[in-house]
Amino acid sequence: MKNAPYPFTSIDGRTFFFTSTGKANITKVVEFTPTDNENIVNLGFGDVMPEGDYSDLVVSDNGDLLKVMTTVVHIILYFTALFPQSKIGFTGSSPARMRLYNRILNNYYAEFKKMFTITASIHFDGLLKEMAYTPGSADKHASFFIKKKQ
Amino acid sequence: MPITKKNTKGKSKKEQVVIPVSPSNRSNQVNTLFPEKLARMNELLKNTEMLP
Repeated sequence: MKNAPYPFTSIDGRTFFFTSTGKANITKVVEFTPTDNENIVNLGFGDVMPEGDYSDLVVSDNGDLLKVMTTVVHIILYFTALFPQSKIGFTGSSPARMRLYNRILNNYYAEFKKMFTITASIHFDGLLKEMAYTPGSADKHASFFIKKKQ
Repeated sequence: MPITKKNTKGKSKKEQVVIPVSPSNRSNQVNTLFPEKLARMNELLKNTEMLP
């Protein structure tokens, strides 16, 4: 991802904000939250709505998707530099969002795999199994996991 | 939530109070902007056979 990211801010090291300046100015939030699995943190990503609440369902279509995703990747890099043992899990809030995340992982896999170990929770024989992420596969993903290589 | 009082006789006169946090209670104590997404991830993790 060669695009420059948007500048981002954080006050606590786990919640990050940046402004997407495409067709409109939209404040985005990326949040890392502990899960029930002590080794995994959940990545939440969405928009700050005009009313001040948060939504990971809105499709803002602001014309700067690549720059927004580049910024999210930079935030992940920042977070994993602070917490290198953290394994980050993320899943889409809709099938379309899952396809988008899969497309990004697929398109930038060669670049990402230098920095991260990438796995996914995959539907397999009626079960969910964490397996290595395989770009271009027809695997049915339920979630993705990335961990900074040591 | 259970409270376990650890006997530290011989090491310190102060009584230590250990409040264990069950993994299943962790998300209840976490403030998040995206509670539905966190709940979904926890459900996926519960049902996923993770790599060692």
